[in-house]
Amino acid sequence: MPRRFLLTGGGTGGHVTPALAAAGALAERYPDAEFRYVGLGDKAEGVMAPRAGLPLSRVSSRGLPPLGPGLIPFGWHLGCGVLAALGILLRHKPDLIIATGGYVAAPVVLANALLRRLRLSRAPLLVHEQNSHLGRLNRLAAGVADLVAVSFPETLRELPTGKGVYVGYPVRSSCQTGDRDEARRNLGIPADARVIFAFGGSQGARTINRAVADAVTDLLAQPETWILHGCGQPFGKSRNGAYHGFADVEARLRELDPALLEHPRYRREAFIDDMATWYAASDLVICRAGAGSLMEVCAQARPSLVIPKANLPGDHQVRNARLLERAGACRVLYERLDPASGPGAVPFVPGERLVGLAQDLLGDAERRDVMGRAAAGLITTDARGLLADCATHLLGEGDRPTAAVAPRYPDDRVLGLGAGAMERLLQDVAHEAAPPLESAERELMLSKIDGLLGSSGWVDRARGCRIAGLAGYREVAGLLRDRAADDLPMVRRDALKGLRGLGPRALAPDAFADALARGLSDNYYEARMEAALTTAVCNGLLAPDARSRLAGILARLCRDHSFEVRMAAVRALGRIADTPEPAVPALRKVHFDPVWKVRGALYEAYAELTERGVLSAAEANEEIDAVLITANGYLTEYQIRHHRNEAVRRVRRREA
Amino acid sequence: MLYLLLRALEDMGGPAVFRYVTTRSALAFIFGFICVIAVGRPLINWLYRRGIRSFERSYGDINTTAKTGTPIMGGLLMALGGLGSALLWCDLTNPFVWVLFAAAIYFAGFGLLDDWLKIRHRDPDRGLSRTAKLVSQMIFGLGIGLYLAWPEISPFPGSVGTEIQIPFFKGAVIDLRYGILAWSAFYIAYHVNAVNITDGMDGLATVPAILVFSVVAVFAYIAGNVQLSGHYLYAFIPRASEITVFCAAVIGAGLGFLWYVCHPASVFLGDTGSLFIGGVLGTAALMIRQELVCLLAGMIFLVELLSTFVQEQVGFRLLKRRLLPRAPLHHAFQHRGMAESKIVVRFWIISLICTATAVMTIKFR
Repeated sequence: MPRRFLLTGGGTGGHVTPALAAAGALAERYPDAEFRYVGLGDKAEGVMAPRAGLPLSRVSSRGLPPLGPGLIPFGWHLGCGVLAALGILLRHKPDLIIATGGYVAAPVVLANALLRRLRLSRAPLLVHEQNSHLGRLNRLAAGVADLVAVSFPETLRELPTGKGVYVGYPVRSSCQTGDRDEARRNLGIPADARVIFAFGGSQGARTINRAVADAVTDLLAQPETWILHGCGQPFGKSRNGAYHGFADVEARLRELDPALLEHPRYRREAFIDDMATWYAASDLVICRAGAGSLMEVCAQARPSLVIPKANLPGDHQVRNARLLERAGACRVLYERLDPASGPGAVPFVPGERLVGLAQDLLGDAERRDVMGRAAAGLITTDARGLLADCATHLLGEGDRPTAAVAPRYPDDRVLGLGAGAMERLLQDVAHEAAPPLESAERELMLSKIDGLLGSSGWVDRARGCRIAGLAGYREVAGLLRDRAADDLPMVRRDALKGLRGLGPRALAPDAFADALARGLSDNYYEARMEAALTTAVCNGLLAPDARSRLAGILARLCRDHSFEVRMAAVRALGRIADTPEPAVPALRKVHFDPVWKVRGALYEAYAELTERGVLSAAEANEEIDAVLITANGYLTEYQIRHHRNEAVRRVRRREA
Repeated sequence: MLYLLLRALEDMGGPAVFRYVTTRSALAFIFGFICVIAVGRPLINWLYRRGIRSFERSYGDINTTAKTGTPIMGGLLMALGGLGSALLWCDLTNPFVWVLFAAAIYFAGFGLLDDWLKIRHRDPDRGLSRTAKLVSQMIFGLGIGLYLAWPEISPFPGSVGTEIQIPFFKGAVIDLRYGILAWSAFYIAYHVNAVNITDGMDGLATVPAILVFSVVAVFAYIAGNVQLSGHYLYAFIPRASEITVFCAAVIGAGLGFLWYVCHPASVFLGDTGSLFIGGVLGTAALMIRQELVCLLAGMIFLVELLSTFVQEQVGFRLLKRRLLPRAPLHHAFQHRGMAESKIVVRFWIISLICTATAVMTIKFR
C-alpha cells in the first residue's frame, strides 16, 4: 500500500514552505507515496502547492474576527470548511496529516479531531510551528496533535513536556548558501561594492518599501553602496485594496526625486524569482521578521536589519526578531505609528533611522561577519530531514528525532502584552517590584503605545495616555495636551494623568500651565481632579506667575461639588500656593467638609504650607485645631494577617 | 417529612398543633437557625481546606487584600439549613413547595457551578459567562411564567396567576395574560442579579433578603387564608400559606448565616448564596402574586442594580464618563471613605424602613 499524506496550512507563503519541504523529504523516503494539499484556492497555497506538483483540495476557512457580527460569516465558512474536510479525509484516508498553521489548517485539524473521536480515522497529526510563538490555530492544534515540531527552541516552553520537538525551519533548498562573487557577477555588481538587499516578502511590506525609498538618496551618497529592492506584488488575482508594492515605491520615488527611478546602483523588482542570488550578493539584508524570511537570512549567514510587523497576534514577528537580536544576528527597528493621525494611520520607520543603522553596519565589516556567523549558528542544518523523521516516527517506523537544544533566551516582558498588562508592568517597574525596562523592551513598548494612542476606541486611547505617562514617553506630550483639551471625558482625564507622568519639562513651561489651567476648568469632574493632582506633583517646576494663576483656580475648586476634586484641590493648594491669600480662606471653607477624606487632605496642606514658609507654625496650629476631626471611616486591620505575613517572610528568608 | 409523619400520628390521636402554619413556621424558623449554627463551623473549615477561598481583587482604589482568603460558597450553608428545615416542616404534597424547592436547587446549583469554575480557573472573572447566567435565569423565569399562565397546571384560581397587584390601591390589578411570561423571566433575572450585585460587603445582602422574605411570609399567610384575604381584600390563593413555612425556614437559616457573616465575616455568600437567595426570593414573590410589594421591600436591591446599570450602560457606554463616583452604590460610599460596618448598618436601616412601608400597604390602601 502506498503511503498517503495530507498536508494543510497556509494563508501566507511562510506557512506553506515547510509543508512543501516536508513533502519533498517524505517523497524521497517513500517514492510511491501519495500527497494531497488542502487549502484555500486564492491564497499562497493555491499557487505554491500546484507549482510543487501536489494536487490541491479546496476548503473554505476564515481568520477569527474580533467579537461582533463578523462571527457569523466566520462560522459559516469554517462550518463549510469542516464539512468539506470531513469528505476529503473520509475519501482519501490519509496515514498522516501534517499541519503547518494558519487558519487555513483549521478545517482539517477540526475534522480529524472529530473523526478520531468517532474512531473513523486513525491518522496521527504532526504540527509544525514556524514562529517562535505558537500561532492561534497551532495552539489549538497542539492540543490534539501527536507531535509538534518547532523552529525555535524557545517555543518548547509553550508546549506540554514531551509533545514538542525542535527541528528548525526547513529553508527552501533554492535559498541555501550561495557564492557571493558569482552572484555579483550574475547581477553585474562590482565585487567590492556594499550591497543592501531589502524586501518585505513576496507580497511586499509597505513599511519597508517606504523606508527604503526614503533612505535611497542618503544611502546611495556612498559611492560603493548598491541597493537591491524586492518591492512585492499582490498574490494571484489582484483585488481592490491589495497593496501594490512596486507601484507604491515608484510613486514615492517619483515624488522624492524622479532621477532615482533610473539610478544605476538602485535595482528594483516586483517579484524576485532568484532569491538565492540576491541573498548571496548582499552584505546586509533588510526584511520583515516572518520565520521564513529570517531563517533564509540565517541560512545565508547574512547580517540583517529587521523591521517586525507590529501588533500581530502574540507579537510573534517581534518575538522572532528579538530572539535573533539576542543571539547577535540582527538589529531590530520597530515600526512606529503617528498617533496623532488617528485610526487608519500607516505604520512607518523613519528613513533617517534606517540610513543611520544601515550605514553603521555597512561601514563595519568585522561586525557584519560576527553577525553573519551568529545567524548561521541559529539554524539546524537538516530541518527537512528531522521533520521527515517526525513523520516516520508517527507512522511507527522510526525513532523519535531528538535535537537536544534547550531554550536559550528569556522572553521579553513586553511581548504579547495587552494594554492592561502593560500598565501593570510599568506600575511594577515604578514601584520597583519589577526590574526596569531594557532598551529593546522600551522601544517595543513605545511602538505599542503609539498603536493605543492612535486607536479609534476611547478605552484604548485613554489607556494609551496613562501608559505613555507611566513610560515617560515625552515625544507624545503635545498629543496628550491636545487630548486633554479635546476628547471624550475619560480620555481627557487620562491625558491629564499621563501629563503628570511626563512632568512639566515635556512641554514648554507656559504650555504645560495652560494645559493644567484648562484641565482644572474641565466640565468633567475626574478631569478636574487629575488636573489638580498633576498640579500638586509638578509644583516646583512651574513659573511663579503660573503658580499664582493656578492657585486662584484651585481656590475656587475647593468648593467643587465633587469631593474628589475638593480633595485634590486642597492637596494641590498646599503645594502650590506661595501666599496665604487665596489659599487659606479657601481652605477654611472645607474645615467642616462632610467627607473626611477632604479634611484629611487639609491637614497635609497646612503642614505643606508651614514647611514651605507660607504660614507660621502658630497660624498653622490654629487652623489645624479648627478642622473637624470626626470621621466615619477607619482602616480595618486583621492582626492575624500580620502574624501570617511575618511568618511567611521568615520562612522565605530561611528558604533563601 | 415530619409534617406528614405528625399528620399521620394526629390521625392516631396525636396532638393537632402541627397542623397549623403558624406553629410549623415557628418551628421551621428555629430549626433552620439551629441547623446553620450547628453545621456552620465544620462546613466553613471544610470549604477553607478545599481551597474554596476568595481571591484578591482590585476595584481601583478599593482594596480587598484584608479579605482575601475568606471561604466563599457560604450560600451552601444557608441553602442546606433552609432546605433541610423546609424539608422537615413543609407539607411536601403542596405544589408551591415543589416550585420553591425547584428554584432553590436550580439557582444554588448554578451558583455552585459558577463558584467552582472561578476556583478552578483561579480567577474571579472566569466563572460562568454573563450570557450563560442570564440565559439560565431567563429560562427558569419563563418556566415560572408558564406555571402562572397555563390554566391546566396553574394552581391559581381564575386569572389571579397573570394579574399584577398594585400596592396602595384597593383591588387595582393589571392582567398581563401571556405577558406574564416575559414579566416573570425579567423579574427572576432582576432579583438574582440585584442580590448578586448587592452581595459585596459583610451581611449587606443577607439582612435585606431576610426582611423581604419576612414580607413574603406575611403576604403568603394572608393570601392562603380565606378569612384574612377576604378581610384585607387580596386574591385568595388556596394552599399558598405553605410558602410561609418555607420562608420561615429560609429566614431562620439566613439569621444563622448572619451569625457567621456579620462584619468581619468568616465566610462569604459567594454566587452560590446570592443566586440561591435571589432565585428563591423572585420565585416566592411571583407565587404569592405580590411582585411590586416585594420590589418595594427590597428597594436596596433595586437601587444597587440601578446604580450599576446607570454607571455602566448610560455612563461608560453612552456618555463615556462616570455618572456616579463608583458603582454599585455601596462602593460609592466606600470610595468616600465610609467604613464598611457603617455602610452595612445604614443599608439595613433603609431596608427596614422599606420593609415597614411594604407591610403597611396591607392596610394603607
